[in-house]
Amino acid sequence: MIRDITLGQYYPAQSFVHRLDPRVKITAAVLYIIELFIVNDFPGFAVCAGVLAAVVGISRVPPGFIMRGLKPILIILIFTFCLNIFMIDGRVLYHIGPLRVTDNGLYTAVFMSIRLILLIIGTSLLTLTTTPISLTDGIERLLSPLNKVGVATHEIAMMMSIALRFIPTLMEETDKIIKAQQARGADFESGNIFARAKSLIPILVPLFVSAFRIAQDLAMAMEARCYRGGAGRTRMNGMKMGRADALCLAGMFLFLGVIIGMRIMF
Amino acid sequence: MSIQVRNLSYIYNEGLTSETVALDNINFDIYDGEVAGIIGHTGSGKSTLLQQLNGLLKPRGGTIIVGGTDITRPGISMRDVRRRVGLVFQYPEYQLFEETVALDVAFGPKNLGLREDEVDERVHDALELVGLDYDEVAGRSPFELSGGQKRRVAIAGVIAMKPQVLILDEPTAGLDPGSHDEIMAMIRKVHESQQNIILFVSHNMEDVAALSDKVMVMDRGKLITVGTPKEVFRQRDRLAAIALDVPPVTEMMFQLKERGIDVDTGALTLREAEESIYDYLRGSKAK
Repeated sequence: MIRDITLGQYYPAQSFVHRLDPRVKITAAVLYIIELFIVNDFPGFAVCAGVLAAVVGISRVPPGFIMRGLKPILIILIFTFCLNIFMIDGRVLYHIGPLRVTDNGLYTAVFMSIRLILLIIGTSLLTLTTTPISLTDGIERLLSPLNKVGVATHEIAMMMSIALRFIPTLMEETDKIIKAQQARGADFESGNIFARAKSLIPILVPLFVSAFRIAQDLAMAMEARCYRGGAGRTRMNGMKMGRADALCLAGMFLFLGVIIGMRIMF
Repeated sequence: MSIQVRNLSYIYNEGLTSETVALDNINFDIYDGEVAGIIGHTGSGKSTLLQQLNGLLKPRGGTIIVGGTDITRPGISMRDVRRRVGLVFQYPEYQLFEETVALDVAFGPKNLGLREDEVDERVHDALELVGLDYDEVAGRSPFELSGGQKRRVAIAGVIAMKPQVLILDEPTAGLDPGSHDEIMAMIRKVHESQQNIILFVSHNMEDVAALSDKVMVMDRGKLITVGTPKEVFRQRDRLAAIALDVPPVTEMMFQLKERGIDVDTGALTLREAEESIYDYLRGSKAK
């Protein structure tokens, strides 16, 4: 079911990672992604995986929970793996009909798969340990320099939090509409691909109408409480960098240094 | 046509920490041509029960027999179940989607696989039955109608499937008093012309008392009382314990009685209350 997707979900727990400043966590995640793309050999991945495993351990998010989040990505993973393994030229290792597995292909396929898996686990760790609200707050603050060049950072962040907030609401709405149309004899399961696509119209039209209605109500409620955008707005809980945050940032930069060092030396 | 429900139970999120027993061993019978009102607080399992009767939810245990067919039996055709049992959800106007009113009402009958002329006839009849003028509304977009009209169109969409059992979940929720009365009158008219079984959920005890042959009271997944409106609303204190009211007229009679005025607390309508008070006044004068 749709509910099983853990990608982008928050896992509530008390841990060092959960308490970190969201800005630090976002920066760390970005650095981590950069590192994954600097790495060009397996020892580099071993270091990345080690650091990632340590962070997962500290975060107290059960590894099983993270693995379940990987499930929806499995198809993409298999797809890239197959594409790489069969499409790249090199010394032929094995034949399956017209398909050839080469040494370069195998190497690239494994290499890319590891990179993808590390990438997904690392980034999902960010959303697993950060509430959507502090995540958008963090993004707003990180983007705030762009305010000077005319980017409406507060509005972007607000749009993100509203979008996240309404995912469950719209899922519930979808569920209700599906049931109502089923009660009128709608059939979503049989027929060919065109019939099925057409059977979605009775769901999509009411869903759009509902989404606009909800948006309108929300806009009215926000205006009634004098919302006027980001200018002059203050926060109840300001973000403060602590010693732990500094420590984490230092650690991440050290990690970056190691990765770059490995790349240059080997 | 009748409905027999035996040992029906249902559990949400079984096996998870959020596991809740939504229906706990429900048993009841509804006979041909009866109107049954279901009352109960939010979360008492009313909506879950209605969805079971339409096959939208599968029970954990128990059987639901509609017109001699067990609709919980594996392999039963859902089209067949929905031809027998029509379900109108809360705020049904949010399910409208077609370009015109006529097309929207035709959605259900078309899904039943009826012939085109039969569909057209049913659409015409259903719209007239819910009190809309076919020639006036049929070609209009459902989205440009008023709230009360939209709801009628949505209800017509289910009536056009000619279900032998019509279920309505809070059919008057969110309507103004005028539209509320019109919808109640419409339900009565549909019942008279179709001679079907009607089950409806309502928080308006006056409506329940006025329309139902049978009142079912639900509390925390259990069906705690079934009886005629008189039998059920006589138990005012028991209903109050689960935060349910009796109709305003009945409440007045109870309060008169508490003040030592000997009137019939079983009065459900103004007419009955009037007669009882009249009798009391005449009796006290004679003394």
